[in-house]
Amino acid sequence: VIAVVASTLLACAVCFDPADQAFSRALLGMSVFLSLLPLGMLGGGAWYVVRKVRALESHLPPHPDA
Amino acid sequence: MTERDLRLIHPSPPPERRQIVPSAVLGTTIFIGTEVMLFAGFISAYSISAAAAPMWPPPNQPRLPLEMTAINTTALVLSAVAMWWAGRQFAQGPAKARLAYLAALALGTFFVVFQGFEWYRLLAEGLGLTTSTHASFFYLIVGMHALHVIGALGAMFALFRALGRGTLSPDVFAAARLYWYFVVGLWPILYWRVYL
Repeated sequence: VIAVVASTLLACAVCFDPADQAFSRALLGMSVFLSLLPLGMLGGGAWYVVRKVRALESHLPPHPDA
Repeated sequence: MTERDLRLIHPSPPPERRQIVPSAVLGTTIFIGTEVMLFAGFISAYSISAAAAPMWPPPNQPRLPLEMTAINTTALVLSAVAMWWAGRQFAQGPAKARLAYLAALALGTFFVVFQGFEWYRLLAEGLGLTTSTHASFFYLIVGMHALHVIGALGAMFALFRALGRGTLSPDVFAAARLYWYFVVGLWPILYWRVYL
C-alpha cells in the first residue's frame, strides 16, 4: 500500500519535500525494512522449531502400534 | 479424586515431553526480538532524518571518532569470540570456562569504559545532546546500546560468581551467551549507520 500511494503519504509539505528523491527512497526502504523484519524473525523462529522437531523425531524409537 | 480414579482417566503414563528450546533461551530470544525492533526503529528514524537533511552530519560540529571506535569495535567482537570459546569450554567442564569468560567480561568492560571516554571527549569538544539532530540521534542510539552492554555485563558478573561456585546451569549460560552475541552483533550495524 505504501509503495502504491507513496506520493500521497509524502503530502505533508510542512515536514518534508515530496520531490526529495533521497527522502522518498529512505521512507519507502525503511517502511519495507520495518515491515519485513518481524515477519523474518517469526519465520526464522518457526523454521528453527520445525527443524529441531524433525531432528528429535528422527531419533525417536518406532511406535509400538506401527 | 483418588489415585484409582486418576489411573482410570490416564490408564497409561502421558508421553514424555521433550523441550525443544530451554525456557531461559526462549525467554531471552523473545526479549531479543523486542530489542531488535527497538533498534530497528532507531535506525529507521535515523536513516529517514539523514536522507531529509541537506548535509549529514552537519558540517559545523565535531567529527565522530571513527578510528578509535573501530578499535573499540574490535574489542567488543573479540569479547564475543571469548564468550563463544567459554561456551565450548563449559561443555567440557564449568571450571574450564572461567578464563575465557573472564576475558569476555574484561573486553566488554573495556568497550564501555572506552565509550565513556569518547563521550567525555565529544562533550568537551562541544557536541552535546541538543547540538543537532545528528548529535541527538548519536547519543540516543549509542547510549541505548551502551545501557544494554552495561546491563548484560552486570548479569554476566553475577553469572561469573555462579560459575565460580559451580551453580551456573547450562541453560542460563546459553541464554547469557545468546544475549551477549546479540549485543555484540548489533554494534557493528550501529557503527556502520551512525559513524560511517
